[in-house]
Amino acid sequence: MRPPGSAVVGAPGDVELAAAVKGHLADGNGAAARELYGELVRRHQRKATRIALYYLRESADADEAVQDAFVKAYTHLRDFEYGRSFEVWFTRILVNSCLDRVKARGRRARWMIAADDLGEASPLERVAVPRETTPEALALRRERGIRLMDAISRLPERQRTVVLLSQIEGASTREVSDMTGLRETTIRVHLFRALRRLRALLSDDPAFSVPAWRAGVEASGKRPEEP
Amino acid sequence: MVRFATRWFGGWGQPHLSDESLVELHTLQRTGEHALAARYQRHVRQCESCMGRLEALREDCAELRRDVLAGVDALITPARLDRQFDIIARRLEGHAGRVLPFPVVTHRPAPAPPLRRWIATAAACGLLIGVGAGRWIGPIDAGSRTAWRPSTTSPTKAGPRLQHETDEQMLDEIDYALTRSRTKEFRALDELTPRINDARARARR
Repeated sequence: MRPPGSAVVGAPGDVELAAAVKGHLADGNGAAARELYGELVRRHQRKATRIALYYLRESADADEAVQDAFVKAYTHLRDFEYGRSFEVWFTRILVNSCLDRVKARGRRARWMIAADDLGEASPLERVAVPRETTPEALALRRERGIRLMDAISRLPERQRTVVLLSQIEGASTREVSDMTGLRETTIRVHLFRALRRLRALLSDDPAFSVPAWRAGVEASGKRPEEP
Repeated sequence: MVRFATRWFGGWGQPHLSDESLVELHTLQRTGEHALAARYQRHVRQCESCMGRLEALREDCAELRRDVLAGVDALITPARLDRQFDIIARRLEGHAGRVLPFPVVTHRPAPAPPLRRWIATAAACGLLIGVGAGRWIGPIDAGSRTAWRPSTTSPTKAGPRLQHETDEQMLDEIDYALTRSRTKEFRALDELTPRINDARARARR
């Protein structure tokens, strides 16, 4: 069996698969519909879990949000219009599912001890990125990732969503608009506000200090001395 | 330190894109907004320095993005995806693993029997008549009542000694309330309630 989260080259596109599932459902052939829908789940499962982890951090909630979103998408597949991107349509369901859980968690947190106090950490805090060989470089890269995700988590809800979907997951403004239901101009405003805020949050962070692209920084990565 | 965002810097003859504009240009390119990015792109095509900075920014962001994705992807093991897939499949089949919705029952008050309704109406009428009659007759003995007088000692004028006394009184009252037999029943409940500090200490251990 093919591992989940991978797609077969030359396989039918998402939209064709979704249309076929709809057709089977209309014919009352539930088993065939589920079989085909399983293929769609496998294709998008990894990315969906990643998005859920951004919102809900490492917890059972993240897996449940993904499961809920896939089940909800299946039961509402009749609303899916042929010609639209399944991924975009599904991500919208997933983001709403995650936000519902974040809100529920906030309500619970008012009456319970904060999750951070109990040792629940950001997913990035537990995992090292095994690409660089030197321990210093590895530590710095890992640190940068953690700081960035921490800063993103401090953004207001909409700004966070827009940054995660566009800058981390690589969606275009139009796709983010379809995923969130916000207008493209609104997304641009949220995105630039978020970037400005992120820069302010990370400006004093040593892990992000003096990148090579900053104005007045030489190719060596060092700022020229002030006259 | 956060500074006011400027679009350009350098002399009139040799302007360069500011850091803010460079980030803006990169973001616009990433999100597919090439029409909006055009105004900066024209300059970048002609300016080697800005082109180099844009490339460096692009690489920096791409590396950061790869690290973030790799970090999160490392948590998503094949076993986890398999488990998740099985649960989704079971839920679609309608078997175990399905999350049942919280039972939503519209709460309607039970219809009151006619006799009880009559009693309630009579009691309400009696109360209204009593209040009305009381207002009409007026106070029976106004002289015997202690008239309300404004307090002569304002809280600001009260010295520290008076404050101390009132605090002591309050603490005495609390002590007395705690030792009263009526609160005994609550003590068992209080002991069952976890303290937030204990829970934190246990979690840290």
